[in-house]
Amino acid sequence: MFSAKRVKNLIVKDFVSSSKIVLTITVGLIFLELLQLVVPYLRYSSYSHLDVVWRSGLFNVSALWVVTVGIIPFTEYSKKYNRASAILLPATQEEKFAANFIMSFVILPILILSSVAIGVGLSWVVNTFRFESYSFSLSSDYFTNIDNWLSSLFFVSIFFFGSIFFKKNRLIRTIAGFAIYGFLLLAIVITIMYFKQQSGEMKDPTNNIDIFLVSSRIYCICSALFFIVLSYFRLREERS
Amino acid sequence: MVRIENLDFSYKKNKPILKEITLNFAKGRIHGLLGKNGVGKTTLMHLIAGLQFPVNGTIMVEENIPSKRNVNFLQDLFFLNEDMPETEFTIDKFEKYNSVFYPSFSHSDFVDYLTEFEISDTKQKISKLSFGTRKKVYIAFGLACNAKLTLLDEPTNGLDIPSKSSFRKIMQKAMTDEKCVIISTHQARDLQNLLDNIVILDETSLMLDATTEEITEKLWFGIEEKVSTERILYQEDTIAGLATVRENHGGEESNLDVELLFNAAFSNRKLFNELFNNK
Repeated sequence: MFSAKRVKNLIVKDFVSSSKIVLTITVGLIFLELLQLVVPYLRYSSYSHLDVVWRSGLFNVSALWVVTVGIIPFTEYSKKYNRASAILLPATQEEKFAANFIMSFVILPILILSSVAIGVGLSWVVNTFRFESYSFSLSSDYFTNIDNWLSSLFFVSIFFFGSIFFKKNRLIRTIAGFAIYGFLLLAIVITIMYFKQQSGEMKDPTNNIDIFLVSSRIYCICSALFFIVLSYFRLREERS
Repeated sequence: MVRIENLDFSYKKNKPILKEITLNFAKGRIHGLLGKNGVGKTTLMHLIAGLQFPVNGTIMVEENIPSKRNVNFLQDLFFLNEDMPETEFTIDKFEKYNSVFYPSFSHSDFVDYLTEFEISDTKQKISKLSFGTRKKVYIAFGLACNAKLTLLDEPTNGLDIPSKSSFRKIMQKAMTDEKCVIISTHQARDLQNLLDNIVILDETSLMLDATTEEITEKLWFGIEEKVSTERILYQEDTIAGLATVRENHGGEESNLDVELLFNAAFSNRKLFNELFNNK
């Protein structure tokens, strides 16, 4: 019953219909990288050699990934007049979910990474012309740190759920909902830690850093799975 | 084609929209769904399409349960809402990216219907078109899908007079014995020559479900010169005389006037129910 061809058709349709926003994000990100890597070094124009270690671009990738997932998937379901035609489009609920999942978790990060790469490449070209010797190195700290990717996955899954759960102002409502959720979670964690410390169970919090790290990783993975599965059930129950 | 049994539906508890509706929509016919504002015509169409789920009762479209949103069911269904979807696609792009989901879609039918509606430039953005032209594009696309079940909610709303006539032509052209079309409308006169079967909803229940032949067998529609004392259901002053709906005693021939029928149904409910066996 599951048809990969229909999933492809859904992705193509969604991608083309969101092309304006996708193009804006792509061009914007290329421009942002160019600004980040060219403008700060304008003041070094008298220098002939420049070494640049680039760190911030990968944070841009994560942040933008989260924001775009809050805007692009399930767009048709968020528009009052388009919801019926989105529900009745001949494809199974699983195919519709798969198309949005692939768009959010595969295509968007690839697209954003590619834009960053183009931006970095262009800035490298510009700086190479400006300086006799220009050395550029990518700081792999952010890229290789699994916790960064897990926290990105956690945030993205929440925004993925928000994009099907909320109908109006999806991004703003998801941010507001997440802020409340985060605040409550933090309050619970601090309270537990406080009482554990008071009871003497946790004498020095720094001793428990490994447990904290592992539990936060497990929490990120479980939460991401929870919100992704919840999005699927929300899609199934969608009505006009 | 569509079998509805003991259907109950409400958006809020204690505020039923539809109550114990039992109704069939046969293949090869164009059904007109009439009723006052807010009686649940659009809701009934949404339930048939699987956009809403029944509270009680069943709806079957051939062997499919609409609320399951089975892909085979969706491929054979086209639903045009009164509020049309917004899209940034041009007409040709809209066709390109949507038609792939409908196995029976015919490009030549789409072009024919657009031509009938006098739309030739398919490079126009749908969002930039007037309300009526957008409606024509969606009607042409919907009929070109050649779906077995087509649901049209107020299709002639916003169409100009020539387009209404084109719509009737296109509908007749698109109709086959395998298809079932359900049209919900307040523009009864626009479509009366097109309809084979008429369903009238009243409050939460069904007031009439009859073919046009059955209706004209039981009721006579025409102009009379003086107020009659016979079993009259409805009379209305017009320039030509008194537009009348009365019981058809001797099997006299007359042409169905859907608007008069609708008024007759509500102005003399007792006799109307008596004639149509409380259906």
